[in-house]
Amino acid sequence: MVQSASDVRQAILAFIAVRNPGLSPGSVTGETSLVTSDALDSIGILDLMLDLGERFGVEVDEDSFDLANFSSVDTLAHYIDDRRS
Amino acid sequence: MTPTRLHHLLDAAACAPGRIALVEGDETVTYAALRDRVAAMAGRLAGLAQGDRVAILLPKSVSECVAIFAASAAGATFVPIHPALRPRQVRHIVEDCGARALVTDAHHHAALEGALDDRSGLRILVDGEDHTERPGAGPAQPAPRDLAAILYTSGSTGLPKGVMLSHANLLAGTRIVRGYLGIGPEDRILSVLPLSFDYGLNQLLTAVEQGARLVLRNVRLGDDVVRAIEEHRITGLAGVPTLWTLLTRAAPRLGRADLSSLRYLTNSGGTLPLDTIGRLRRALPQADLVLMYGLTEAFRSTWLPPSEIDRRPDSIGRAIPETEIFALTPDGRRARPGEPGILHHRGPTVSLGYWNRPGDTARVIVPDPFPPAGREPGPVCRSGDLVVEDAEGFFRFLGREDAMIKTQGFRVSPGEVEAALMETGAFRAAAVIGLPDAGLGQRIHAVAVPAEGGRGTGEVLRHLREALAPHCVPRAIEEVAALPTTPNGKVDYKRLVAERVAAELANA
Repeated sequence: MVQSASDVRQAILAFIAVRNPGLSPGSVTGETSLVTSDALDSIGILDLMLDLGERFGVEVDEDSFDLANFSSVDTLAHYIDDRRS
Repeated sequence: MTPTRLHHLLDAAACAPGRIALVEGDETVTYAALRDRVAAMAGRLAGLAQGDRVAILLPKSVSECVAIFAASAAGATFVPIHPALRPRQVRHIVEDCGARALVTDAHHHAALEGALDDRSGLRILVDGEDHTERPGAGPAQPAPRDLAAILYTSGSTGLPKGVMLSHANLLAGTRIVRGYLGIGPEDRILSVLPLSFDYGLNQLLTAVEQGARLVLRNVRLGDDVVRAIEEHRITGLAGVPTLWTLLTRAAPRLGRADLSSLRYLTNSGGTLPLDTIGRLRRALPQADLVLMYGLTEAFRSTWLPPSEIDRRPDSIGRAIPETEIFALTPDGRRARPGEPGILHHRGPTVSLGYWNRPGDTARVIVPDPFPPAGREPGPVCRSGDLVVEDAEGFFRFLGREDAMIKTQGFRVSPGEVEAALMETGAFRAAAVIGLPDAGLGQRIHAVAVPAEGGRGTGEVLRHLREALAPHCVPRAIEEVAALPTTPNGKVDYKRLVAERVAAELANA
């Protein structure tokens, strides 16, 4: 499970790195919250979900935006991983 | 006593000591505590001359609210800076307004990466502590009397300009909006918009004027907004189109939560798509939806009473109280109903113009073309927005007369984004346009001619993210062989937009 979600996790971390050019390596990890950290703003989160939806063939709908899914990078990675075709 | 300076609002009888003024996370601040903190911060700003600029670089927080009132109490002018701006834009604002002090926190100070270290005469206050040696007192540039704030905003060209707002402007905007929204002491207003934005600042000022409660929240997801409304029994929510998109498309709790406390919603900063209006009306039927329109240069200009929204959902409404709005044709006539014209605004919220830019000011703050008989023409604001009035006096927004882009409630100058694109060396030419977007208002689209051996897209985007604020980064960079030009040889922006809109419609 953790193993299979690791590519989703890498995709999320890469997305965040591109959005934050000044970010020091390692400051965002699997445990980082997407709700309380400054890693992404609201548009960034919408873009991330579209990107993950396309990349992993997951249908992103309203319910995908449940706050619980964003409590950490790993939680979101698992959510996407569970739904990929 | 009628307030004449912004911080007088805190002295009103409505702001009883034990009432809660501000809520940030688990922290609640009473009006007594807010007054104490403002007095303490004003003390730290002592030594500034009347009208000296105090830049404020803070996240939405109690400290930011304190700094705003403290600057006023110290006789200074506050210059709120959006906390997501990159060091380059922060430096531009601090230099342009000639700030004598910067109020910030450790996180934002570190993120500046020393961008302001060489500014002599600038005091930097980090979390209330002075981080600078006694600065050499450079010659202070005098400010207009009654100058309360400078808010930076983009135009169609050049770097962001500072709009000068007087105390009278801000107090009038507070009184007018509070009046037509019916805000009272029992309201609990949610503040999600930046206080560097005149419309966002208005939630703070209207709440304090009435001794009401303001809940400060940085939201990332639609459910953040829903949770805040539930937890704090919020009665009033102000947003820009992006917020309503989040709330209606990406908030699973919206349909399940008890949001019956919500009395009103207001939108400004861009047109709301009809579909979004419909979703909001269905999800929150008890809440009045109030559409507002304005530019920082004159605060708000029009509002649509909520009773009209179902009849004219694409209207920006009519003049706000104490104000007259009229459209002027290119030959200087007052436009007839149905005839497009440029919106002009006469009233107490017309700003003092742009800081240090008399030429730009003269284009936007113009003498009243129809002065009252026998009197000198006062200033009116020429908005640059093309509108049309209907037979009943309601206006509709048609577009800009220039290339300025409005996205996520922000104004973006195409020139600033084009300059950042050209800096990469990857392009021979670049043009930046705004395309209609249901979620963002407009989305930024770059059309560029690649240079030989230019850098790859990844590297270009990295540079743009370093150089520009997040809302200024193009959503797409489209490569073309050449840019279309007008007969005068200028880039034909209208054609670039028209071609792409037509293609999107054909594919829809």
